[in-house]
Amino acid sequence: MFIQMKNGRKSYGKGESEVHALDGADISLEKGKVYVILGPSGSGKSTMLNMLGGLDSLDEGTITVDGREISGLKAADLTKYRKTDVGFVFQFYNLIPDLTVKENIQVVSDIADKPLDIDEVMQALDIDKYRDRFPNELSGGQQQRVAIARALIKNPKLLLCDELTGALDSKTSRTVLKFIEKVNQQFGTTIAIITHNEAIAGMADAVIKIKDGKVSSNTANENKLPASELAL
Amino acid sequence: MTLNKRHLRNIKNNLSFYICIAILNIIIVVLYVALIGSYYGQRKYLKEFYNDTNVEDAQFVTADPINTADIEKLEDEYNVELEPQYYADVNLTEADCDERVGSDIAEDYTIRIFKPSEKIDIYKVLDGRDVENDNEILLNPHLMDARKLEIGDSINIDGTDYEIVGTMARPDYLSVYKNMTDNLFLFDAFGYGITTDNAFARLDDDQKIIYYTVRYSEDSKEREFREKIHEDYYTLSYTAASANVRIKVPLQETDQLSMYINQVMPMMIVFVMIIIAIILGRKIKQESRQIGVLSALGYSRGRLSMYYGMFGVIPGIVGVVMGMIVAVPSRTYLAKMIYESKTEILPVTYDVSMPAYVGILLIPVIAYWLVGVATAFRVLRFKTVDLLHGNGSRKKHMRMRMAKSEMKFSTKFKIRSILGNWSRSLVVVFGIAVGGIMMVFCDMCITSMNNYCDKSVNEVGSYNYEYFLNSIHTEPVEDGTEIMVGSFSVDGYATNVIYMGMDDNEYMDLKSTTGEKLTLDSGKHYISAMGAMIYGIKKGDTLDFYDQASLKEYKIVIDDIVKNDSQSIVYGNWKDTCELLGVPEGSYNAVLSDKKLGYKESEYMYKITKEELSDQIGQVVISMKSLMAPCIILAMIIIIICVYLMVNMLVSENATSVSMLKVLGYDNRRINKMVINVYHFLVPVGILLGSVLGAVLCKANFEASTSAYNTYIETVYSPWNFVRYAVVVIVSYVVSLWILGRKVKGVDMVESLKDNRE
Repeated sequence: MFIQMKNGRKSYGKGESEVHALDGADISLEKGKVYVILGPSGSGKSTMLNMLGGLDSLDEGTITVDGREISGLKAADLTKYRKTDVGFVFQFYNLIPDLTVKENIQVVSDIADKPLDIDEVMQALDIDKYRDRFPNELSGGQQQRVAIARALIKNPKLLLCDELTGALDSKTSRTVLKFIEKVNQQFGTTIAIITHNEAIAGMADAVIKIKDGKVSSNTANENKLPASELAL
Repeated sequence: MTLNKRHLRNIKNNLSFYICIAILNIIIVVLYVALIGSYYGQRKYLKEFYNDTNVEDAQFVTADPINTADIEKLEDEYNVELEPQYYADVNLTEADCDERVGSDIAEDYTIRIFKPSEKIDIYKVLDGRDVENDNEILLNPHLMDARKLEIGDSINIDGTDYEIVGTMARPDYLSVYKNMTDNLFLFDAFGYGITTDNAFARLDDDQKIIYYTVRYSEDSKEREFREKIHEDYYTLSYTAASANVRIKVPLQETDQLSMYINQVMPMMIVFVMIIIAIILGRKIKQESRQIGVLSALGYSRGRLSMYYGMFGVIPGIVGVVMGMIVAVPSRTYLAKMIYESKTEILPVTYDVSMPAYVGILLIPVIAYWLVGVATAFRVLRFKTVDLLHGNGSRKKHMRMRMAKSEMKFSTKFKIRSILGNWSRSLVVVFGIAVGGIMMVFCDMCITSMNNYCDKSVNEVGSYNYEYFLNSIHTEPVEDGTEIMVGSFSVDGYATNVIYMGMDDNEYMDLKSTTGEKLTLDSGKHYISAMGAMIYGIKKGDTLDFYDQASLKEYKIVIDDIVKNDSQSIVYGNWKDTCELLGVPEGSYNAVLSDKKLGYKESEYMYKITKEELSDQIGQVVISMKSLMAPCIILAMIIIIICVYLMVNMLVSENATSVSMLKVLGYDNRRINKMVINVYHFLVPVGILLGSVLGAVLCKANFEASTSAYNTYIETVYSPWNFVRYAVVVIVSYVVSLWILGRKVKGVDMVESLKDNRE
């Protein structure tokens, strides 16, 4: 298995206010596939993304990525992991406001070991024409495509998308998801999309449902749809 | 309002910010209370003191004494008050005092004992009681303090023990210059005292000096009186109170302070308030999403503005209250530091008037409240939806695109960060510059004084003793050089010019300011650099001056400027001078010598020794250093706080970017380099600005206070003045970066991203 979390546990707070965000979660992701992780608010989706992305550490359990155990890594090694192996796309884009589109992508290509060609990625995401604009001069969908390009430029093993269409209308959401689909097909990137939106599940190879910090189901999607046909 | 609970929590969460703001406010209040209190307290005291003690309008020395009957006649005829003043200088050694005297105090010292005057320059008892018996004495407070004497101690004068029964001051000795031509004074080597008439009569008559003091009224016939005195009694010297350093220096000190109060202090206070206002404004802007939330919840513009006004009010109140707590007890100490290096220790109440207290309490608080209200209003111009999406403080202008530039994107990021956040950048530059102005100013003052100390003693000449005789002599001097000296006034200037006539001699190697040797040939006149500066004279100009004794007017053409920043002197040929002053050729009234000459004390008005001069200058450098040291510390605090606040602001304002860069795999070193080190560009700008303004202010200060110091102190630029300042800035910057670099380490990726999700 390409990515595997076993018995993942993570708690926040102490005493009565202690929250078990992950409570023995097990998850397995195969290489090159698209996963949609569904769950209600507070189910532990975002915590799972943080753990898989090396943003935070498990209290208990293990995470293995491409045969390498990352759950016990030190802060510096986790930084290296994020630098080379994993890309993030967030609901509110988190672009750096004082950098242009191209420079926002360059921020990552500058430190990546084997970055993809920046022009090629921008063309793939159709943002080449906005290369000299600042984030606040772009629409939400355009900004999200820049965020995807930024995540993709390092050619990550895993692309983690957290509510990536949460701030977008349905038309823009479809456009963004089509790009995600294209990234998966063109670059063979493993993608995990965390969302509330069950309609997105249609484009996944498998749908993972999370409830109360545990994986309640992990089902292969027999009727995978192209993003363009999703009923968003 | 429940919302107000946030204020306390906000303080707790931003403690370092509030502490820094409070310290800056404390500095403002301390500066204000100390300077205003010092100025008004001293001014009021001096005015009352001069009034109560009937300070002279002028003093003069005559060749022939004026008897009591003539004094009464002159008073009636010219409508003046006239009184003879008597004193005798007694030289004492440490052995004449009790054991309290420390070993670091001058071994020998002089007490000028006055016979109590009745009409003019009346002494005032400051502590203890007046003299009642013939074995009692009052001394001036500086001498008591410097020699560690106390009321009840006794000193032995000419074999008689005198008990010190109190301290007193005379209005004509509030600055305790031994000689009027002195630049500076040594409190432990010279002081003055009062005894009873009988005790004064016991002193050696050879040591007694008489001079006359006069007070004019509106009806006085001043010019006629002076002409009459010169005609009948031959005036040897005449010094108006405005030219008397012992009287004018205390007043000039307060005038000089008023310059700081009216110009420097408001500038500093406004600078610091602007810095605080900008910081507060930016802090509130950071709350724009919160403002959006509250607006969405139905809070009105007015209510929100009032709420955010409190953001400024709290640090304002804390700062001014704490400032008052520090300033009120320390104002007397600060005022004494300002004045007591040149003025007598006086029982002044350095208080600030109630309106002034109210002003300093209210002005910063109101200003910060207005900043809070105005910033909230500005933020609320945006639509609530935009605020909720965090678009409330986005800047669409002031950003340099540089999109096509080949520069590294990290460099472009820094430039945009500086120019796009101009107010934050301004605070960095001003913060460094404001502290720098103070620091460079103080440091350069000390360097200039040190330089003055080193060179001025040699500039005046290579002699060791200079005697100013009581009368004009013609017999040749064996071991010295004769000079004819006169003190003259220049219309419109309080500082007298000394006219010094002599032949070229071994003690006076006159050099022009350009380094050429000057000779005292007949018809040649030179003026010292200090005199040239005071009277605005250039080579080739004519100098008009008049004899203070006879009121006779003279005109001379200045052939060159002599390098001498310490004295206001016109140098001329001996023969020419005798002719000019109307005395026989070969006359002299002063002598320069390598060694001590055998003159009795009654034969000369005063003598100046090289050693005394050097000690005086050294003493003033020490007192100036003690005055400047707290200012330098204050400047360092301002620099450190401003740099820390700005770097702190930089980190908190860029928390999201920092967090995102961490998510993207940037390590702390790279993040610091890209985001936190943007001020590397601005620090040198601030240093440069502070250095230039500090140097300009130092030069202006010395030029303005030439009269107060009775000397011109050339402003000397030492690279160390700037290096020390730059080191303080750089060290505080590096330390702030180090402290805040740890804060960068602490930026939580998950929490910051959560903020974004919300």
